[in-house]
Amino acid sequence: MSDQMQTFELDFHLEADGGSADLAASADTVREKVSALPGVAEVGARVAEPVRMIDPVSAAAIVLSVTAAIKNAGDLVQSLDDLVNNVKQLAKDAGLPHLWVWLHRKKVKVDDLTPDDLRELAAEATSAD
Amino acid sequence: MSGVSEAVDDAVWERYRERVRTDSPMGRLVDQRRLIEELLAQAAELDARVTRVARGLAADDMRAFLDVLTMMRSSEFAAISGGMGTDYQEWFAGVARDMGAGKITLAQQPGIDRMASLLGLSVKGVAARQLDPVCPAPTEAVRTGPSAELLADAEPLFRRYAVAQPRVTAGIPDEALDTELTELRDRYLELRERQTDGSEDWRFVQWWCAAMTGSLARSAAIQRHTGVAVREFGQAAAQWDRIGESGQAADCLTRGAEAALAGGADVDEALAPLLRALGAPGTQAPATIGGVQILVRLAQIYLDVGDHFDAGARAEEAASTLAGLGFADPAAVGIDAAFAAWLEADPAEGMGALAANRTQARLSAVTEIWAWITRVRTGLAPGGTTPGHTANTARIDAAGTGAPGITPDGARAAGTDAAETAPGETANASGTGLLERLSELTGRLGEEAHRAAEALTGEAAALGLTPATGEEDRQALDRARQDVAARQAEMEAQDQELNRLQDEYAQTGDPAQLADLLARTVALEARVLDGHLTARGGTAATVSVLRSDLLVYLGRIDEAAEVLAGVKDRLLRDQGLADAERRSLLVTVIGRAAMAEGRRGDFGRMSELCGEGIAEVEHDRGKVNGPYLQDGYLRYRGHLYDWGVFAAHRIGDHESMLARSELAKARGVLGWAVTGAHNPAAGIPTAGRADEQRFHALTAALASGDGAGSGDSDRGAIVAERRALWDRLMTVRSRSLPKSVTPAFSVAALQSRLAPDEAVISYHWLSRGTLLAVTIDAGSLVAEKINLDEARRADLASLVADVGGITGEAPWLEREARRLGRLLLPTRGGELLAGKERLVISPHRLLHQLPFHAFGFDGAPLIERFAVSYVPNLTSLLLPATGGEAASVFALGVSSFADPRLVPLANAGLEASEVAGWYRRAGVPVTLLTDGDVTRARIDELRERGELGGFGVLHLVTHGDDVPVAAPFDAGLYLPAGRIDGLEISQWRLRARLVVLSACYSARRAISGRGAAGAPQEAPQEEPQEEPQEEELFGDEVLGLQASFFAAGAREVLGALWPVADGQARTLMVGFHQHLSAGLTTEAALRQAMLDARGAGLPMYYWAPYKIVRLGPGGDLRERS
Repeated sequence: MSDQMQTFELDFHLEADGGSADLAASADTVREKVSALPGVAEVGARVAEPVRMIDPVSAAAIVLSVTAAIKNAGDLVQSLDDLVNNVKQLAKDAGLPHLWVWLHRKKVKVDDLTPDDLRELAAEATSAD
Repeated sequence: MSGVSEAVDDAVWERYRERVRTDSPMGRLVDQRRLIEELLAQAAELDARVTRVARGLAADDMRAFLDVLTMMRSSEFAAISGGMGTDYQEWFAGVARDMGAGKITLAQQPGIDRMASLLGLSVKGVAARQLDPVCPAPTEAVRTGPSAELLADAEPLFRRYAVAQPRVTAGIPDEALDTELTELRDRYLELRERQTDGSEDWRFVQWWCAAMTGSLARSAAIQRHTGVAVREFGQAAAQWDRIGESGQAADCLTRGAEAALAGGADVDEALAPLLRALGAPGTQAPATIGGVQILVRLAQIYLDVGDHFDAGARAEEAASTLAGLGFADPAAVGIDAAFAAWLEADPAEGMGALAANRTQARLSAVTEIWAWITRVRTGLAPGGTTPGHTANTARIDAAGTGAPGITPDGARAAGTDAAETAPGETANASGTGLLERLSELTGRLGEEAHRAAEALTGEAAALGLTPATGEEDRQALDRARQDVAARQAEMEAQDQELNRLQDEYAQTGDPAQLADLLARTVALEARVLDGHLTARGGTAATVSVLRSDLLVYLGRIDEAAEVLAGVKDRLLRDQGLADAERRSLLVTVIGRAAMAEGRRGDFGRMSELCGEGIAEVEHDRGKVNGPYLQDGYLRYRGHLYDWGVFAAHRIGDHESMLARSELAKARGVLGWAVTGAHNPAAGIPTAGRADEQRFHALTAALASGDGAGSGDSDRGAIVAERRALWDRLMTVRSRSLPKSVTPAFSVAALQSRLAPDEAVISYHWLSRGTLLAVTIDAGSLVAEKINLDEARRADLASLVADVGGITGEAPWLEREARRLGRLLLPTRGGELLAGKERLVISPHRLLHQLPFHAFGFDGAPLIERFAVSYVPNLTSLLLPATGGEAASVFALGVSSFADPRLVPLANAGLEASEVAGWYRRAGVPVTLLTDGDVTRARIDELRERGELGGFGVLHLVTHGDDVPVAAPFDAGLYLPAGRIDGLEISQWRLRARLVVLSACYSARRAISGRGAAGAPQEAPQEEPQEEPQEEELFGDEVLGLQASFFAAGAREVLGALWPVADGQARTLMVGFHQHLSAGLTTEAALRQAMLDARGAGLPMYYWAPYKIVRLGPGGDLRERS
């Protein structure tokens, strides 16, 4: 096991209940609170814009990118699990109860994440592309 | 799965038999005879009763008696005769009138006697009318048929025809038969001249004239007298039309088209009569069985020539029309339920004259049509061959593209092929199952009809109605039938053995079994070649090709090459083959021979043979001009180009390598570029003006909702007619292109057009897993293969699908773009890129979906190093440069939409206004339309006045459509109310240097086209069907919204590969125009706008979707910047 600091990045997709939420304010709140989580190095949160296509499915959403650091690579899966759960709670508190995490090229609902998904996520997070 | 005979219950068959019986002419004759006998018996009784009653009446009571009698008897008569009491009633009324007028005076006794007599006579008169066809004024319900005199005149002709016809049906080439049929036809024509136009007798003779002409045409087709066949089929169709036999007319039209195609005719010209029959303005022709027959045969022709877009559209149009006529889709409800429903269906209007009272003919026609539709659907399913492809070439083609074969690398590909086609096998199996059941039903229909006819004949004979036939005639007919049967039996036996051999070959890899198969194949080959059957050259070639395949498989390559050389020689000498069939077979045989040479390692000879094969294919290529047809043309031929590119690459013949690649990539778009508005001498020829006007009128009708006023079927008819017109317009335009105008490709010509700071990369898939990347600059060329194992190839396909599925931020793009750079960018060729500033990329097939400019290169996206643009092929770089500065600009932005599915775009109007502002500040005239100004009327006005052609730059901001797989040109742009689709845009006259589409998916082009649009996905009582899969386009044609603008005359189209975010799109697009108006070239301006976005920290999703695709050379970067 290496004691070297290792960073990983996770991308989340958050949606509010209904379309009335002030997404910009919610994004700021989530950014602020996630930034305060242990190990989190950097957080980016953007409100997804409407797109110029019929029947857009990504309206009223926030895209959250989190870069975190861990000391022990062996803890990565657990750290990912902790981070996902923390973000889930914070998002819920901010009025964004629907949360997905990007796994490879698919969006997976965090409630449906399996241990295998977490391991895959860890592998992806540490792979050199 | 139980067969039809078990599945359809007896009650249904009983109902069928009854319908056949009551609908057949013989059945009507028997019924009439029975009615007459009944009436005669009643008349006798009536005479007696009337006499008895009337004798007791006073003279004054006679009138009341007659009135009552009239009412009662007419009612009774009506009941007996099924509504035919009119004559009787009128006769009574007449007698009553005559009596009232004193014309008939009745003394009591003699009057009563006379009355009784008259009453009896009147009934007998009706009866006599049934017996005597010469009697005038028959009712519509029961036609009298031809006169006895005419029948007597026609009978000898009919007997001669009865002997000749089986020989036509059997397909025996026989010039003497032509003579006989011509004489018979002339005799019938003479007979027709003696009849009154439109009379029953005239109709009777006209029917036979049409039948005779059709037979003559078929005989000519059998003998490969193409010109005569096409002419006679056309005449036959016209003759059938005159008596309302639309089904027969449709059959003749399609046979004529098929004969023309078999004879190597121009595809557009061959199909023109069919398209005219379908698309005559306002006819809504498809809503008849005859129209449906044309549609479905047209679909099969399209499928045979590889045009899956038109094949799918036509087949589904036929399916929905047929279902609308009451003939349910058996794929949706199951064959048994469908048959029961068909039996009940009686859409008299839709049926036309085909089956007014002929159940058997109608149901056979319907079954056959569904079988055709199923063939097309099966052909469109993944891995589908073309079951309906009746020519021998179908088998040879199927064998040519299926297992076992060899890849260009010389490796056995049977396993790979099987893996690729596996998902489609279920769909194919389902389609094949349905086909088998339809075929079974057709056979059963014939049996049942035969049984019903026999029963009727028995009854008729018992009633003395059997027509007499001379012993001599009967013997002649029997002899003809026996000859035909023997020939057909031998042909069938040979075909069955061939099918068995092919099936067994596809299923075995065991050398011992293969050796056995080879022996049997050699025996069959000898049987076919030594037999006395004519017109079997195609079958013989197919057997020989199978023999060569087996030899290759067994490693006896030299023998295989020898066999193929022999087949090629035989084909060149065979006079019995039509040109097109010969060429088609030659292409297959040459392809096999090329592969054999590849296996021997003689890539020089392989390249040479591929060159020969490609030359054969190119010989007819100009005969195919429809946008979708052009792509489909390479469906069965494209592999030869791929192999040719491969072989040329192997021997280092870069000139041939690139020339062949160019021939296989997007040839159609070059024609559009040359015939677009840039070339004032070209464009739509005068002949197409009426079609063009009609097209725009239909577009306006659909837009205004007029087309929807009378229901979906009317709107559907307008949509279908508009599509047919569009196809015709595009075809006419392509045909107007002088072939010499298209730039001839050569490496030297290309390099002479490249600036020192410019390089191009051209891709070509040699096989599923082998990609050729050629990097070229002004002085050098590097060709290299990129090999992808199956996992990587599958991952690439999956990635392309995921890029296609992007609907919002996709954080994985950066990672994948880096990976794609490593995977797909040339390594050796990369050395040529040093010092270059501009890079032109010509992708191939699924690569069109990818943003190469975002691929990782030296640690950063490619766009950091190069201004990137895209071309459909390298030849397009040889087109003459056009345009220049933006003479004037058209900017359009739509922010709000009536359609609730379209979210408001707060930035669209602002973007258009800001773009307009940049140009205005530069002194360029601008026409700006935003929101309320953007109406169809305004756009039509700009088009009609030719003002659209005056703009050098168009910038359109609105919602866009993804490219529909089944109909790419249906993709469109949205107005505040309604939309403009690609069909319409392609008819604009633009002279724009640049069109910017700031809308979702606007740079996307079709990369696949497989799957029958609208084909039912559920098949109760059948095996579950797989959803039809897509397959890469065969000719890599540019199809979609982007293509519409090229077709309209634009030379550069900037659009987006995936949905663009409203706000960020505005920033990037305004930046682009800012850089452009500052003097950068389009690709440099786009690069700068992308770099600005990257500098602002935007993820790839926001800046990478945009790409510039152009026809013609770009500007000089240093000159302009």
